[in-house]
Amino acid sequence: MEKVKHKTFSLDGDIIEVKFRYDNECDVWHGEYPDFIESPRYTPGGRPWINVTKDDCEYSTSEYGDCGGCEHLMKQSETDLIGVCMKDNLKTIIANEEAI
Amino acid sequence: MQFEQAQQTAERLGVTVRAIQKWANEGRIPGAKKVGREWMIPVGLVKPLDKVVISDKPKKIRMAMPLLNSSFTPGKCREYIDCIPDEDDRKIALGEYYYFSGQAELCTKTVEEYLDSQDEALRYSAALLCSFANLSRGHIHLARFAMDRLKTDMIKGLRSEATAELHAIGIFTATTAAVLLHSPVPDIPPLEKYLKFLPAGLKLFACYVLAHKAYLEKNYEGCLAMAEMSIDLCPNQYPIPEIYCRSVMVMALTNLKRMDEAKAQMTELWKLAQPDGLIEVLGEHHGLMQGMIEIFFKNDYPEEYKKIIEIVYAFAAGWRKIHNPDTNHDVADNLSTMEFTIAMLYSRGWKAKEIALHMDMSERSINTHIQCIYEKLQVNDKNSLRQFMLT
Repeated sequence: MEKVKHKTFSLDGDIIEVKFRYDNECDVWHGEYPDFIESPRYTPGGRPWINVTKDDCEYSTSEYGDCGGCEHLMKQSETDLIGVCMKDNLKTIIANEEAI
Repeated sequence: MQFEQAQQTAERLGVTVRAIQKWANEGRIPGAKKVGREWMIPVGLVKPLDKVVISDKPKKIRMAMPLLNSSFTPGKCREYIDCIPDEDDRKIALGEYYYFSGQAELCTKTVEEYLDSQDEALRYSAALLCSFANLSRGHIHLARFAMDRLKTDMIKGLRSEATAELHAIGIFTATTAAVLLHSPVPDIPPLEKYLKFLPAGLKLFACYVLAHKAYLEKNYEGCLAMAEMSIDLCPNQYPIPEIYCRSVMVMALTNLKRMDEAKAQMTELWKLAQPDGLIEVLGEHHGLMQGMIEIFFKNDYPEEYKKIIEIVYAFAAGWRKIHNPDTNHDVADNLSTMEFTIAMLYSRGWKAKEIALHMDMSERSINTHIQCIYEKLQVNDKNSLRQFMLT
């Protein structure tokens, strides 16, 4: 029987629930994360949810070009693969672009 | 110095008087002197000096790695080996064939008796082959043993009165093992200075090793130029070294994102490797070729692709054990070859969109794979991923 669990990510006033499936062979839980590149999502505070694999932007502090390595990315815990970008400049730009 | 009669020495050593007299006449008993017709032997002699054979023929230097150094016709490798006149050279060449065709176990069985050979070239060849073949077999302690023998022998050889050609072979084999296994190069003369003493085939392979070193230093243009020029300047075609040179060109071109040229080099490589099934090079370089093996082989050569992937798994597992002996973090072994390829590209700065184009997949699939890789390796950013990859 497939092992499944759910985890809640709560950041900047927004809550996302992600389903995890257990990979028996590799002894690893795989999360079915939303793809925020394809379907952007914002918190009530106007901040974008980010997958750590997303390419970084001009405000990034990441050395290797990924949002996962940027200091502006706020995550619920260190090992999470999604988080919220707390860079104010970015919040303004993206929220306005989406509105257009 | 005290002396005794030959008769006394003979009784003490359990030999005939005639033998003592013969040794003394041949100058093999230091300090012995003739008094009248009798030899007086220094007390305490245990055994005579070794007999010195003086020959006016120059000593023939055996070449290490005879198959690597041969310009056999592609498709006729086994026929070439069968015709090698010297039995020891023939066995080493057979061991090389087994290694380069991905049959690591047969390789070690064929050559390991030569690890203790009196002949340096045979010893060097056996040690180099056993270093790599035992890595693929997962016998890490045997791989390390062979590598240590190589380094020790080579250092000892440098201190001896051996010829420059023999020194060159020792430096060549030790540097090859160190560079290709990403170990620190031992404190020895640089290989570049001894290239001129190597025969043409080994010289071409040495150029591959130096090009590979440039690649590891991220000097991709230099690596490419070195490998290309070495092939062009070679007087004959030496299939195995040329296969390796072209493999490093594929790696460099892929890093430079000159994909059409990389594919062209892969085509040339395969023309040389396919007729004799010399696929080990592809297994060894799978990660560094960053998806080219999937693109080139997966659909068009499925049987060969399957064999290459088996070599990849075996080699990569051995590689990790030898480089991370104390870590419990072996989850990288759980990556599929597809995931490993994507991880290699991503950790080298490729964007997901570029990887998707390169591998003919959707960007969404690539992102999903990367997430899966992160979960398996328990990392969450590119910097941490880089630590697991072969860079």
